[in-house]
Amino acid sequence: MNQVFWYATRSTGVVATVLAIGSLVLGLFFSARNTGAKRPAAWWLDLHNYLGGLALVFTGAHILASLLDPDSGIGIVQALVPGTAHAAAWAMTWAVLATYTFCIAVFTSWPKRRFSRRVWRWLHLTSVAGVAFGGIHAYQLGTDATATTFEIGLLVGAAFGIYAVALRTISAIARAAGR
Amino acid sequence: MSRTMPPPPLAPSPPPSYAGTPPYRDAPAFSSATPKPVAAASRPKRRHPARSARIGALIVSCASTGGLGYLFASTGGTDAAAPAIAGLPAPLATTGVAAATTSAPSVATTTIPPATVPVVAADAAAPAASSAGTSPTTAATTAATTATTTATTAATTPATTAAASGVFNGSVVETRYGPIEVQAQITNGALTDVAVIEYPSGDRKSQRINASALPTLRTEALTAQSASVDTVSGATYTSTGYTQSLQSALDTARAAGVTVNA
Repeated sequence: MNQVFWYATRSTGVVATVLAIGSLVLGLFFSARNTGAKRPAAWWLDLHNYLGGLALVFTGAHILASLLDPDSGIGIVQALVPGTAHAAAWAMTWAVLATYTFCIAVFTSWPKRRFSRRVWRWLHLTSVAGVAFGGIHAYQLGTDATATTFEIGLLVGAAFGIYAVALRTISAIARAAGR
Repeated sequence: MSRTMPPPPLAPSPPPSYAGTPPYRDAPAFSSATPKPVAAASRPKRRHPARSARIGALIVSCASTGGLGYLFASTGGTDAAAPAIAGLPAPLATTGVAAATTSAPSVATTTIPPATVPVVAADAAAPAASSAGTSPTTAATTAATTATTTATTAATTPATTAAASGVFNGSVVETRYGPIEVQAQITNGALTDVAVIEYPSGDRKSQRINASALPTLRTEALTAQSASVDTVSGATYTSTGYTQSLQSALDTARAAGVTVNA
């Protein structure tokens, strides 16, 4: 039975990583107004929101499966408090921080209008760091991190993410210069 | 009195279109629902523009999770060629009682074949061989044969003819990442070496961890002259399996009359 939780931990972690990267890329493309005219902007925003929420759900499933796995050595404290893991403390710290940033990004999007635009944007942008933390966590701790397929996938995801961040940054600079 | 025309009925506004590049920050909510609060019972169902994409993403995510889980369960990880670990001795031909083994694992492991010429388990006959002027290889072979005979004899009558030397395999300990089997080499009542016969090497991560952990565990075991060694950080499963297998090897040696004088 322990193996089931172990496999669940690994598979949900991989899927959560992919979903988080996908949501990040879509969000950055959207905010850079680079989604093209084929689909309405609301479509991209809707999908971005959904993928972000789904990434958080799968992250929760990933944490739950690792908590239920008696061999993982991870308890509630290790899952919630950075730096408390007995083994691979740094990798676990990245994971905890990534989870918190995902929570911030998702749960501040619902009461978005209650925040000022600037505050909300900075809160939301922490998810960029969160995705990076998640990728580092996957690379450092993931059982499949050294599998060639996973490495290629992580590399492609990182490339997409960096491209989207660069696109968004250039777009913001160009917009600021045009004012 | 002037008559005024009644106002025309308000036509329902179509859902906003975001085609083109309107600034999204100024766009209203993409829901087609009216912004005016209405009773919950009559509130129109929220429509998601990317509804089909949402369903597709959910299906793909769940299917990927299940597929990956099945893949992990069926393969146990990834396969890669296992390199030899530097600093670890090759196992020798055992002179002790055969250790109990379990079924073969489903994950990739590295099994190191025993060396053909024993080096350690030759103390019992080495003086005689050197005095007779035989070649080292012949001496070692003779010594191994003698040691085997001695250990076998000791296994049958440990109280009367206890051998002080021998090579003993531990039991195969199954861990999450694969089986571990070690071999204890005892010379004159001292644990002189611990070789690894089998260790998890199904993926490069296991190889990397074990390449670091196994030499550390060997050094600790030789220092402690027992299987009571500390767990190597980051290699919990390897450490546990190593100590269990080593303890099994020492137990086998003790049963054969070969004890370690710690």
